[in-house]
Parts: sequence; C-alpha cells; structure tokens
Amino acid sequence: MNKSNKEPMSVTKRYTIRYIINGISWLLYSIMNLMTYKPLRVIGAVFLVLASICTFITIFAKQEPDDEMSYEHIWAAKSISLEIILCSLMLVGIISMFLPFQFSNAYGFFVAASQILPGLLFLKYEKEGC
Amino acid sequence: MPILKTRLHELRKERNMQQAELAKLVGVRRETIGNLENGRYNPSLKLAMDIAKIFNTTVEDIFTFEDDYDETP
Repeated sequence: MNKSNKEPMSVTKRYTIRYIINGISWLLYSIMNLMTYKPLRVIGAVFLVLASICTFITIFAKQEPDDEMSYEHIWAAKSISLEIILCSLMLVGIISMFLPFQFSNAYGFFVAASQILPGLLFLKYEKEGC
Repeated sequence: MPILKTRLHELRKERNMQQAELAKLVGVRRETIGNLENGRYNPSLKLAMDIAKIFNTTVEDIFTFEDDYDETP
C-alpha cells in the first residue's frame, strides 16, 4: 500500500500506544531496575528506549485529530489519575518512614502508573461515557 | 440528574446517513456521534448547533433533557 494512502492512526490507538504501551514499558523497566544482576538492568534500559519510541511514534505518525469528546475524556482521565497518584505517593512516603525501603526505587512505578492509569481510564470513558 | 435524550439516530436514519458521514460534516470522530446517539456524551453547544444546522432543525428538537427519577409509586 502506498504510504500516502495509509489510514491515519485513530485517537484510541494513539492514546493506547502513548499511555498504555509506554506505561507497561516503564513498569518493566522499574522491575528490571530492582534487580542487582546487571544484564537484567540493561534489558530494563531497552524497555525505556521502547517507551521513547512509542512517544515519538504518537507525535510524528499521521494521526486522526482529537475532537471535543476525546479532549474531555483524556483530561478527565488525567485529572483522576493525578489524584490517585498523589494519594499513592503520600501513602508510600508514610510507609517508607517506618520500613527499610528506598523511596527512590519506586519512582519508575509511579511514572508507569501515571501513564497506564490515564490510558485505561480514557478507554473506559470512550466505551462507557464519562 | 437529568438524562440527555436525542433524536439523532432517528433523524440520521430518515436521511439515510452514516455515522461517519455526519461525523465528517460536523468535524468530529465517528465514535463521538455513536456516544451522542447512545446518550453517553453531552455535546458542546457548538456541536449541538452544528448538528441542528445539518438537519435543518433546532437544537431543542434534537436534544432534550429528561429527569431520571422513578415516577412509579
């Protein structure tokens, strides 16, 4: 198929790649980053490269433009995700005061959650309404 | 909370128009028209007026709000 005749990437597909696939890559990186075995940490870095590629694809690929419903859904999803992540950060902060736990080891999981949650909520809103 | 009722599906079928065609005419995605017809999305005033213009009618004729309280005793 000629490149110019390619169907533009749908909004749902774009947000799935941008948020869910990207978030899963961050999650895998964070898990690998906990390991002390160096080759596993290198694999973790590969997942971060994958996350970057996902972001660039969604920026530069030919895409269907957003409309008022998709804007409303993604902003609602991001807003709720922010509340959840802030609450989780507070809880983990409190827990780390009483347990021998390095707060810095968890940052990747928060980045992963900040990507996956808006993506999943967006898909839910698109299917069921906001 | 009032529920949005719409005659969009009915009007579209009368004119033998596909969701995608209407979506293109008013500059939104097909999914947005689908959600509007199912009452899962409340349109902006601009979108409601654009749709009314396409069907040559008024916004009130297409979209109405109904209270969702149960009237059975």
